Amino acid sequence: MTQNNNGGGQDRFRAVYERHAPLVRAVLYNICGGEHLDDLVQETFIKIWKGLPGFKENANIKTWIYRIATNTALDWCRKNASAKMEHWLPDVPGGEGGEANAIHRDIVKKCLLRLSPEQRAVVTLCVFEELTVKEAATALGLPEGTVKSRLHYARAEMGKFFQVNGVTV
Amino acid sequence: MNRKHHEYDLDQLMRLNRPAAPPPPTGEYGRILAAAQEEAAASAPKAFRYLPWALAATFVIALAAALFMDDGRPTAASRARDDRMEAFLSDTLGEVITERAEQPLAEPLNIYDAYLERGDK
Repeated sequence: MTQNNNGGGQDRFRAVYERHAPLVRAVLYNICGGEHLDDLVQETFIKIWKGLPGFKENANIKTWIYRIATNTALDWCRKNASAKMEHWLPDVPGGEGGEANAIHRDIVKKCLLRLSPEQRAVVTLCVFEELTVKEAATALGLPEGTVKSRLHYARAEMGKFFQVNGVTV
Repeated sequence: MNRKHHEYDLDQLMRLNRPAAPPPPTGEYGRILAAAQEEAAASAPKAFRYLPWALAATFVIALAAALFMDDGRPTAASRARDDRMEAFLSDTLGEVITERAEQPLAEPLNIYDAYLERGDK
């Protein structure tokens, strides 16, 4: 903490923020939705700020940040289990497909809402962020088998949902 | 289509249509930094809040140790006492031994034995 109070610590923190803020935002959004996104981003970066002085330079910072972000998101989901998921993901134009794929985006969004927060975390890391199962397991602090299993059930659920909604995969 | 292809296509479909997070609010970094610094400042006095209690507890433990836990471990005071006692005993015994050695032996009660010893016969 002392290191963070001097200029060097702040510079390092700023560099981490500038480089990884979009990643943190995307992970939190895909797991928790948009309603409390700004608060969750702030909470995640406060944790990063606290942990940064003790973080080794040669360690994988991206995995560490993924871990903090997913833990923050999952903690929030546990505390707010009764919250209405439908309000979490507002309609925001975007995605690589552009406006033309609005229907597909809507289906993907609804599909995510059907998954548990733990499954959404795995889908976010393995599908959206394109991490390997091993990397996702490290980030989530879970055995690889658990990640594989969650991913398998999430894919099965998503495939079924797409089929029901007439999307050919 | 095999399972791997199906998974690949499913992942591609999800990836292409992933929900995009809304952009960050203006000045987000400054807000986060201020919040982090505020939290650090708020948590710092917390350590000092418990300092008097920690010192008091340490003092009580040290006192208890001094009072109850010196069995078999001579303190500086008790060592001095022991030295004085040893010196006293040593001197007293020395004196007693010396005095007794200097005193003339009592006359034998048996006169005959004394006579034999002197060789008067």
